[in-house]
Amino acid sequence: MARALDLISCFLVLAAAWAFARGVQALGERKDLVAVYLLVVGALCLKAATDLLRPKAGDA
Amino acid sequence: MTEAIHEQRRRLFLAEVSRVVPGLYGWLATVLAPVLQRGASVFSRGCALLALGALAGSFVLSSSRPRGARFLGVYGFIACCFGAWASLGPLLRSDQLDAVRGALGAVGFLLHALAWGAAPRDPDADLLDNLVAGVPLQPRHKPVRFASGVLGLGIAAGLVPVALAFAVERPSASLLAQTLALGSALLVIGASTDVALRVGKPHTFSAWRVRAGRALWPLAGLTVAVGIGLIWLALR
Repeated sequence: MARALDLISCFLVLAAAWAFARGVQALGERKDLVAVYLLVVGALCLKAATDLLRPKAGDA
Repeated sequence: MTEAIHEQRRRLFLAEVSRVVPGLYGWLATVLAPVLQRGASVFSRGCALLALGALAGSFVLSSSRPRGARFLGVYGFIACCFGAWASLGPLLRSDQLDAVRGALGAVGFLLHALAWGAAPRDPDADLLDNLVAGVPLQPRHKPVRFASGVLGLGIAAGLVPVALAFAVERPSASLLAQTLALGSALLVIGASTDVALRVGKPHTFSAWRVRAGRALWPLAGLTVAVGIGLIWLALR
C-alpha cells in the first residue's frame, strides 16, 4: 500500500504539470476562467503529492 | 606538487568560465538583439553595455575579490539587463520578439542563476588538501534508481508550461503567462525533488493510513475541484 501511495504522488506531480501546462495554454486561448480552474487544480495536485510523502516528526 | 596546483588552478579557471558563459549567452539572445533594433534608446544600449561590463568584471575579479565578483555577476548584471529591457518600451512587445531565441535566452538566464547559486569560493582553500583521513561515512540510505527517473520526469514535465507560455500571443496576457509558467515550473520541479528524495524509503515512513490522512484536505479539495469541472463539462 505504501508503494501505491508513492506511485500516486508521482502521478499527482505529473497531473499538476499537465494542469499547469493546459492552464497556460487556456490563457492564450482567452479562456481565463478555465485557466484559473486548471491552475487551482495543479496547485492542489502538488500539495497532495508532497503531503502524501511528508515524513512524520522525527524522521530524517 | 606544482603540477597538482597547476591542475587545480586550471580547474578553477574553467569553473569561472563556465559560470560566466550562461549569462553571456542569455545576454546575447535577449539583450543584445533587442537593443540593436532601430529606434532603441541610447540609455537601453548603455545599460546593455554596462551589463556586459558587469559580467566581464565579475570574471576578472572572481579570483581576487569573490564578493565583488558576485555582486557584479548577480546584482550588477541583472539590474543592467532589466534597465535595458525597461527602457526599450514598445520594442520589447511579445509580437516583435523571436519566440525560440527568447526561450533559449530564458534557459541561459536560468543556468546563470544556477551557476551563481553556489557559495563563493575561497581560492586558497581550494588549493589545500582538505580530505579527512579515515573510513568514508556511509549514507543513511541509498537513493533508489526509480527516484532519479521521477526527478528527470518532473524536470521535463515542469518545463512544458514554460515552453507553452511562448505560444501565448495576446499582448495583455503574455507576461502573465510567462510569470505563471515560470512559477509553476519551479513548483513542479520542487515537488518532484521532494518526491524523488522521499520515495522508496518505506521503513522511515508512517503507516499508509496516516500518510493518506495527512493529504486529506488537498485530496478532498482536488476531488471537489474535479467534481465541479465534470459538472461544468456536463452542463456545457
